[in-house]
Amino acid sequence: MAARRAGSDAKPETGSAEAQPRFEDALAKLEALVHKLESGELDLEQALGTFEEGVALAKLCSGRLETAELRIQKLEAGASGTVERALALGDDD
Amino acid sequence: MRDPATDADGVPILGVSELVELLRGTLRDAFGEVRVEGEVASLFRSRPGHLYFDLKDDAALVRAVMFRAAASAIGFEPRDGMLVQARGRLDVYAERGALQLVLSELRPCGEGALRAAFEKLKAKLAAEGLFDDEHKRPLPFLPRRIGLVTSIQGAVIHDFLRALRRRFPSSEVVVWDARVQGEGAWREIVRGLHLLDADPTVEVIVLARGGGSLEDLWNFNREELVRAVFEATTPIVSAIGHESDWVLCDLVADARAATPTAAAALVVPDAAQLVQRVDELELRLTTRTRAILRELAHRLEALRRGLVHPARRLAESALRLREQRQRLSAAAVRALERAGARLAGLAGRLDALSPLAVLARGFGLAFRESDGAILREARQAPPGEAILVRLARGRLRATVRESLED
Repeated sequence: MAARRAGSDAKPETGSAEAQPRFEDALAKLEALVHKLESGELDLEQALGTFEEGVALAKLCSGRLETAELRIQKLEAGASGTVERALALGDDD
Repeated sequence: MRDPATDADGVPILGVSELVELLRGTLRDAFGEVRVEGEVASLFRSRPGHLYFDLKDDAALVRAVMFRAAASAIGFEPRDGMLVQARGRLDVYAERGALQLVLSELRPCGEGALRAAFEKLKAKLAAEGLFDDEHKRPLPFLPRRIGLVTSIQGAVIHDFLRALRRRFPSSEVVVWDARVQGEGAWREIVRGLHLLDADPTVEVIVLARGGGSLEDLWNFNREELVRAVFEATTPIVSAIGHESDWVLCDLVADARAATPTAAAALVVPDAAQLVQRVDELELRLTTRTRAILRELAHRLEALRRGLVHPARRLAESALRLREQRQRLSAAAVRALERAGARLAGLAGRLDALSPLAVLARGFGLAFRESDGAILREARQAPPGEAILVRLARGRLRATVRESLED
């Protein structure tokens, strides 16, 4: 019946600017690496490679989780398009 | 254009069209947009879809027209006698010199009428499939940016941001400040929705507003807004009103939250839990790698100990050999003497101990065929086990039928 959101199943990727993997993908990969390493089927070279890759992913994930300020932008539309300005709402915590 | 004619007193004499045009300008300037509440009468819908009716109360009446574009979007079926609230501009219908209201919006007044309009629009959109589960899209695990359409006045935005800050502190929010109640607020909401939807870094959009009466929340039942939510490519969370207030936006959205705080919990994961999970994975990674390295170090050490220069090993061996040979011959002599003495003693007992002697008395010796173990207990040979029974003369190969414990 209703033809919803024709043709677009997901938002387009923003392209090369976002080289970083998505958090959930990095986390899933890290879990896979830990399982692989724990399976004991790797030779030394592979084990060390897996370890290095895993540590890098863990660091990436932790970095994304580190406590940082909430960023709040206010979207404004003018004649020449939209602009975003930082919005200060007074911390109420 | 001819010169304006004047009468004897110098007062200009107007043509009819001029008069009407002047009147129009005056009406526009003096009134601008008006909102009028009244009862619908003499309603007529023209073939192209324009609506014509009178708007009246006990003492007065004004003609109203609503052209097709506006009329097709009102989301309910006006009828004679219905109490409505209209919004529009005053104009003069030149051909008849008649005052008329040209309406841009029309909605039913009063809770009962609103409720009826709500049910009607709900049924219509449901029939079109707008609320079907198959159209619901999953929310991202962790959106890069969160779009928020709400009023930056009031408690709602604070509640939402506070919950976000607590749950996932490094979130990024893009706010579109919109009125969330009152005439025409839905236009601002739709506008923000479109703008945020067009931004690919905004991966989820939250529509938020506090609770209120059906009338307060009416903007979130506007067909245009409901369709805009439906057509957006970004997943949308509707956090309108309280638990008990349902609006059509809630039904069409990809997820519904009863409160702004609940909406925050829907759009971002709990950072504290994730930190724990990542830490645990990193620990396992390090522990396992350490174990691998330690094991390897042990093996290396063992190998190193075994690694001796061949020449040195040869010399050592020769030396050892000489020693051993001397010790061996000395020992052999001693051993031979001892053995001779023992042999004499043993010979007598040997006959008695020999299993052959025992077998001769009618005993059998049972062995497991698989490994040659002597069977002393029934449970050593479960059913099906192949066994060998040695008798005084000859052997039996047998298979265990049953294994009975005493």
